[in-house]
Amino acid sequence: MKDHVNRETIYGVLPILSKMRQYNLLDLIFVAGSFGVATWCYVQGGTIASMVNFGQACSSTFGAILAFAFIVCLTGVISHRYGIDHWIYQRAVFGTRGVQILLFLALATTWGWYAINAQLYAQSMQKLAMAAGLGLGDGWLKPLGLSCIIIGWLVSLGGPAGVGWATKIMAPCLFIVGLIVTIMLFVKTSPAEIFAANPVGLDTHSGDHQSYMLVTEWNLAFILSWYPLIGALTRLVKGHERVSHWGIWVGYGVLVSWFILIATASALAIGNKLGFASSDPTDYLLHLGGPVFGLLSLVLIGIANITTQTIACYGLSVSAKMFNPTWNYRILSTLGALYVAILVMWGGVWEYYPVFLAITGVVVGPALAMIIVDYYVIRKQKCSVRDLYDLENSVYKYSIGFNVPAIISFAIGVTAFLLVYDPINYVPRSKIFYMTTATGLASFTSAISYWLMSLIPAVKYYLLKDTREAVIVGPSVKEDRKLKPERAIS
Amino acid sequence: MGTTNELQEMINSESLKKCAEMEKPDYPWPETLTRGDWIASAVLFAVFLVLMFSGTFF
Repeated sequence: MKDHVNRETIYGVLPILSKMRQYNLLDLIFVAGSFGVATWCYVQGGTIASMVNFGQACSSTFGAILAFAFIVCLTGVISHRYGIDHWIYQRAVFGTRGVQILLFLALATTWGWYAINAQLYAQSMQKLAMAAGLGLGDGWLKPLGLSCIIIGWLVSLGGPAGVGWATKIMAPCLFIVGLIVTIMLFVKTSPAEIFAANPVGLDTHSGDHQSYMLVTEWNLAFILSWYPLIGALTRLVKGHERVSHWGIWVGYGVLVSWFILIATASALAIGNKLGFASSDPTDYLLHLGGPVFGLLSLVLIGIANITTQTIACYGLSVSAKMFNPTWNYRILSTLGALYVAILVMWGGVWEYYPVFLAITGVVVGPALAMIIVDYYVIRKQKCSVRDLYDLENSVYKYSIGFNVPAIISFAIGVTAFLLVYDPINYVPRSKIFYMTTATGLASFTSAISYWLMSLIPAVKYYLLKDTREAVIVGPSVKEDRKLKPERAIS
Repeated sequence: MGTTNELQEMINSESLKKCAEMEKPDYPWPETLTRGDWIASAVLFAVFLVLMFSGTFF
């Protein structure tokens, strides 16, 4: 049983003390990059190319992703500091029961990305098979997609070591694909041509204001959607907190934006020749790369898709242990893989991609913004890590397990989102959308309302019970602030 | 492997031991973000936010 508990430290929810960490900066960039940079960047790029020109795409993608990646980074720093998954920290934000509802919503939506991943793998493999003379029809797409899930799941059973190996294979594959596409773009077309291209299928050079803000909304939802996985990575990082902060920014932010823009440029260059904006990279990789580089890219994409699945099985399973730490990591990984398999068989995530992005944005934007306000502004970078775990006696139980002001703020954010944006038909409902985007507004209103409520003395008293009744810890806590020694464990 | 309850108890006890480690005065906390990190982050955030909103002019 002791072995099981030790495994929980790595696979599960136990705090990882600073001396037990595994990842350095390069590891984190690799792993974070491998999470973010997958073939869904090409789906995003293809979707963007149908709405705006390349200049607008650069502005929206670099702007939205590299600015809002900092919210993700600061959340990662909390996990790094305490060696805990940020889902554990969110017990302080939403309450010990409130966080479970949020986790369920977040996991249910995040697994959708891996259905997209498996679909792209299937399409790559189908084209490779065709090139090899095997005529696999569309009926093979779902079985091929399932094979990606199964292989990725099997590798994930190796835990962090398996994930480490997977990313060391996957990251170079994706970089080589990116490099091939970039070189081919320069060989077959020119930057001037890409910048001059109209959005695919449109007669005008620029996407209108609505199109631009829709693209920005989708970019925001895209970068924030990695929220369920951040803590599983940064709690394993050793050394200075800036390793997590900048590692996530480079690994998620810079690499993801770069790959989305490569995809957008390819879609603009090739899509206009094909006459349609494809969100399937395999369509234009073959056109760009020709038989040799095109097929090589497809092979590399296939490998990358499998390792992406591996990383998801690990990260999301660790997060799911929040529901019950005694749940077995391997069983959770298996259940996750089964859920993605169902999504692949259904096919709806692929078909309704913008709706999927909207559902992601409405959940993760407010939650992330509130974590930042809660830890950095309201609690001033201190919390009782013991009360995050000792659920029986936790000060973070608030009202029957729910932090009422936080739930209200979250609801305000969701309402703001729905007032300015129709997520089903993906059209704006209000002019405010053109100034803020829906995810931006939802994040802002949740954060501001939570902070404003915390200024009310009674609410502040309610939120900061930990400073009165628990042992608060953190690098900035002075010894005389560590209260209530009678609750300390000798 | 013991029962789920025993396992839960052991995980809880192990968690609390690790939490107690963090409560010790000599716990080696990681070095925190410096003022330079915060300023660089704030400047970059502002620059990219402006870039995001300037896209409608292209």
